[in-house]
Amino acid sequence: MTGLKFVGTDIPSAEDLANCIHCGFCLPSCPTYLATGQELESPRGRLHLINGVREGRIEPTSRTLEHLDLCLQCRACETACPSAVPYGRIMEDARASIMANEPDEQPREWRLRAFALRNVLARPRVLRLALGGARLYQRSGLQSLVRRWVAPVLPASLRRIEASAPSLTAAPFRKTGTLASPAGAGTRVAMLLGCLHGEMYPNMHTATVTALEHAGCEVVAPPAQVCCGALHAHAGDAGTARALARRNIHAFEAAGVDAVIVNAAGCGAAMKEYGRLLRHDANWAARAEAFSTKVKDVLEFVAEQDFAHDLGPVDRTVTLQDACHLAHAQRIRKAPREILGAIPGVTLNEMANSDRCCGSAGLYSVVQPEMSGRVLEPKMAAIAATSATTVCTSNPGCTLQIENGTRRFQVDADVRHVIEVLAESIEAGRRP
Amino acid sequence: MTASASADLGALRDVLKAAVAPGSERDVERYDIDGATPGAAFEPGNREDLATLVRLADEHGLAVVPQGARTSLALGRPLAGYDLAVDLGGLRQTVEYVPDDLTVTVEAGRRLGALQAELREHGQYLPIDVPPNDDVTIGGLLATARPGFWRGHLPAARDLILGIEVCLPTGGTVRSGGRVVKNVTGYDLHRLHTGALGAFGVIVEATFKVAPYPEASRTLVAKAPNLEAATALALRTWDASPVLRALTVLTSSAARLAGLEAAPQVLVELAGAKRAIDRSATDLASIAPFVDAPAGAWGALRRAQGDSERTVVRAGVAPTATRTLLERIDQAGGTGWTNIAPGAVVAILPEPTAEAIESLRSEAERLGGFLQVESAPAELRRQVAPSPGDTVLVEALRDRFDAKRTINRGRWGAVL
Amino acid sequence: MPTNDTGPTNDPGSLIRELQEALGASNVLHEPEDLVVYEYDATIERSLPDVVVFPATAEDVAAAVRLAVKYDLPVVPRGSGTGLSGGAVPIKGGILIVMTRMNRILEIDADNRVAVVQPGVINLHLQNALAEYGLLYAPDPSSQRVCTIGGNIANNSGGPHTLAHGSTVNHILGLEVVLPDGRIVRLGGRVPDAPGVDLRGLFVGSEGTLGIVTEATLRLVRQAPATRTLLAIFDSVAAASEAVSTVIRRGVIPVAMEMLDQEIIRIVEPRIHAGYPLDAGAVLLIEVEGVPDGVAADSAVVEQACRDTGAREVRSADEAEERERLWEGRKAAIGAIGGAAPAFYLLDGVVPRTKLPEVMTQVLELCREYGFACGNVFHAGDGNLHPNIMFDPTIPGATERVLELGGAIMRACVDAGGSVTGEHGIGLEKRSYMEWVFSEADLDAQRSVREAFGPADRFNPCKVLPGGHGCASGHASEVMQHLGAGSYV
Repeated sequence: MTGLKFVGTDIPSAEDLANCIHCGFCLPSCPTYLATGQELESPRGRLHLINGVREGRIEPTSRTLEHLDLCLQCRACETACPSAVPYGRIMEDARASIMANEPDEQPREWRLRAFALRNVLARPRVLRLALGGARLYQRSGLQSLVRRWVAPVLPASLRRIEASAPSLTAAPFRKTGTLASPAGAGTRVAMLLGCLHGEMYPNMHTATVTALEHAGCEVVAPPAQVCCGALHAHAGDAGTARALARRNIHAFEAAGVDAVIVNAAGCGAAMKEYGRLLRHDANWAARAEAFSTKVKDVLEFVAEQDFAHDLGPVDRTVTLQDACHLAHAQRIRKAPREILGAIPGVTLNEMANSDRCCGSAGLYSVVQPEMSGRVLEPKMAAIAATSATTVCTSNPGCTLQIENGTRRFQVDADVRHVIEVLAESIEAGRRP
Repeated sequence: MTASASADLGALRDVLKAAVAPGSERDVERYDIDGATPGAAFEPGNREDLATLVRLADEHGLAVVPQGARTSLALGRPLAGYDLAVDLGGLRQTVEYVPDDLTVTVEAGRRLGALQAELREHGQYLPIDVPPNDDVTIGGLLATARPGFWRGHLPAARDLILGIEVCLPTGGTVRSGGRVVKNVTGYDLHRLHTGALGAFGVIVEATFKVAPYPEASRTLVAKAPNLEAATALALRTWDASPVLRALTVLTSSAARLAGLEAAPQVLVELAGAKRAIDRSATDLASIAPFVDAPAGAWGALRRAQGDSERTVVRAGVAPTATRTLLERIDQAGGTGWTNIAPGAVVAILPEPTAEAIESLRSEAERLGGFLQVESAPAELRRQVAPSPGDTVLVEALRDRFDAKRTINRGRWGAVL
Repeated sequence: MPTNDTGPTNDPGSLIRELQEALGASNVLHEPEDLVVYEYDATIERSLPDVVVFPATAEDVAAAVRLAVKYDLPVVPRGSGTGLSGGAVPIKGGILIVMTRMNRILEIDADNRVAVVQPGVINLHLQNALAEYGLLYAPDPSSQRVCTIGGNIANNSGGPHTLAHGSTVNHILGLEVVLPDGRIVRLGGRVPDAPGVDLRGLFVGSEGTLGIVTEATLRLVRQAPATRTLLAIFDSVAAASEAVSTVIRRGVIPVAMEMLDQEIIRIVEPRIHAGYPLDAGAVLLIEVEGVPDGVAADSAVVEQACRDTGAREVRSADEAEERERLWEGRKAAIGAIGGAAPAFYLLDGVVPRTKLPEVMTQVLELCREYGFACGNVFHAGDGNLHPNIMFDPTIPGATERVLELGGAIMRACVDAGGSVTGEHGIGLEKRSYMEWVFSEADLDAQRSVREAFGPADRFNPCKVLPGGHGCASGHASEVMQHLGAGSYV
């Protein structure tokens, strides 16, 4: 792998890296360090590797890159860091500076991953086609046959992928335009539909519209919007991430809204960082910065509105998984708890280490199934210990992973976005 | 007592005498140990003379026994040689005392009582109550490291020591630690010397962390129907977190020794701010009917433990396991007590035999602990004396600090 | 002592093979890209190990040590790598034994207040496990959320609560250790004051030079029934220092007395919002604990002492959450400096408490003289100073001068009757300062101890004691060329 080095405009900055004082406070917050006990799989170790590659002291061999690749990018280390090292962006920058090498220099897996992301997530038609096949597989009854007869004899990795496939029986959410316009709405907001979750978890979108409407907002979904680009940025494909960001900024600007509402924590975190992503682009930097200030997570936004009126009872004992990109990247922890706390009938049993990653981490569960499973295991144990029958999340990736975990570890709980539980309560309040 | 190099000591005595300040020689009769008298005895008046004596002894293969108040000489195996007694009584100055630093540096021959009086003037004390009483010297209490009633509630000598100066058999003087209350500079040799029975040099000076003298103290006692109930009560008392300085379960005979009614008793000392003591006494009253007891009870027990004419053993086991041992001691007619927090069971044995002691020791070891003979007749100590720990390491250390076994020869066993 | 017939061998391939056979292939790292993250601790010192192993048992450790003997290689133990004196940096290469896999709490005997743990247990994880029993393990180094018990034992670590509870050595009942000859031995026991030579007390704080801890039996204490935290605000460091002495003089020993000076307050407050006034010259955090009435009595004495020495305000908190808030600024201080300055040098010196005002004045004068900003956040009750010298290592010569200044401050501590480390250890960093504190004869005695345990170049060579075969002069200057921005010296 000679010749591979950090190149391009995204090379991690000396100032960002300089903040690290090697104190090691990040180690026990890092799921992969906890799973392995190895400095190599820790934030401090990865920063040291990145700094070494940057200085030309360490070669970015496939072994080096594997350690970078094993990072979940959950950013729990940022919360633990006493000197505010911007780990998430250093890691994204590092991956982007590897992917900025000529294609034949790029590590093969990284190149393939970027290719797949670019050609599936960023292209709704391809994505829908692929998911259509999966939906057919489930509806046809083939799935239950496979689960019962074939799965036990499949190799573990295949079985895991099969098991992790979400239930796609509900009709996808593909509505655009005006989704709600309650009488006397004071605020106009736009919703990000995202690439995957409207397909996988349409009820999250429906619930989001219900909650926003209940909070007195007019809700629109600009038809020109696209995938947020978070996964592309995480995978080092900064070019595609920037292209998607520009299209989204353009689409949402045209909608003339007060806020852009995102119900996937990972997408929200990425969109709040569009300003930084496009900082080198003279035509877009200011627009991106302005756009980012309008981005709100749905829970963050709803908690600030008048949402607690006319709620009906929901009989659920829940526990809350803090999505990494909500708690660590967006620093939002109170909002989901405020919302759950306001719902009559809901009991919240906090799990241990609720802000520790579940191992989903975007594409991670597919790319690094082994480590993803090792990270998931303590998470499911923590969930089981709460005796909750519903696990609340704020990100579709986490929902998918934890649903998978409930099956694999036989935990009797369903998984719901916080906003879905709120929507249930709103519906219950409407009943006479 | 085996003979030593005493045959040549006649001439050597003059060499020793000439090497130190006039008037340092003492009458050997005063320095009898286990029935043996040394060939010569000196009480050096300064550190240089001490170093000279020890160096000359080492050069000439003499066995040296440093001593202070001579209260714990029945601890450890009988000596394998005794040529020269070195009385540390001449080194009894307080070197430095800074009350606001809570530190004091004293010479090894200083009596604990004299030091306590000095500290008391500034409202402070060294929180150590080793047996038999405050006559013990600083060097002696360090070399023997015998815990008292306050152990487990207050730090012991090995915790309070901040630094040390030791005279090596080669005549050199070495220091470790310092005079500050928190220090991790170099190896803590001062902890190695604590409890080593002089194996690695003669302690010359030590620095301690001292404590504020408590505003008040109060002794309480509660009777129990048997030792099982008494131990359970003591454990409950410990868990209630009162301002304890001592918490001891007494057998009936120990209670009588302490001047209390001859019954299983829980003896408690509270120490600290008056308000805290009052609060603790109230808390204790809700656990059991504690009544005030004379503070003199502690002194009586302490003297008995330190009486080197008696056979005294000390076992250490988990606090919850102490009852088993104490009951055995009681049933065998011994006088015993348990200091609950450190799990220390102290027994004065009426008719000590090696078998009886070994049987108690194996019981203590079965319970995950140890037993040490604190004093016994020489013959008995030859059979049941303590081991120094990992003998390979201790021997390697002794080889480097006292290759000729000049100091306290044989205390830890034949090769040591 | 295990013997080997063939004498030391140098074939690295067969060493790795043998280590893999003994410990399992996945527990041995030897590729250059893997070794590179084991070249550091929390200092600027850097040096690569030849091989890194992750033992799971004492037998694994002993096997690795025996192979080190066979191949005549140094052995260096490592926990979380949070040391502040270079203690875990394998300065002469060799086998780095990383203890993080041995991270189980083996037993909590709540009734007898004893815990048995493996050395890789993180200090805070133990505290969390003990909390449900109402117990705690008293040593609480500021890095407790990441540092390991094994590392604490190696360094005899302290922390804010050392003032009343003492350092690590006061809380270690027994140890299982692997010696430089590969023997596994037990020192101490489950109860204090076992007969025999106190090798336990000697071993604690020996910085991995005498052996490797594979199991520790710890003394626990019961959580106090009541705790009060006071925050006293002063116009100057001198006044706050006087308050510290006055509290002690009046017969109260709080469990902690921590000071933050103005420079630190101005860095911490905007970031943490702990409520420290920006114009304060110093703040003191004082904690008292005990039975409720005793706490009331003691804190009244503390408060009066603070007011008598010029405190302009004294706040207090009894509830855990409120107390935590008062502590927040103290706990986040060092990290906040990391975010505020390109690099800083965290010093650790100790002086008699009564010399605090005079030494603090000297420290600030020295910093002015050398032209560096310096913030102080430290264990005032123990006289344990932690000056943090802030600097920009990209300015030519700055690092050299900072190290020189560090030396001058250490010298001032020694001259005042103190010493060069209160809790961080000697490691590589302060070897050359040992001669300021000890005579050659004193150091020889320490060398004798080391040799009694094993050859000096086997376990953690070039640490603690000055000199040593093939060891450089012993100061961070050796690695200055590696200094990059952001160094935490």
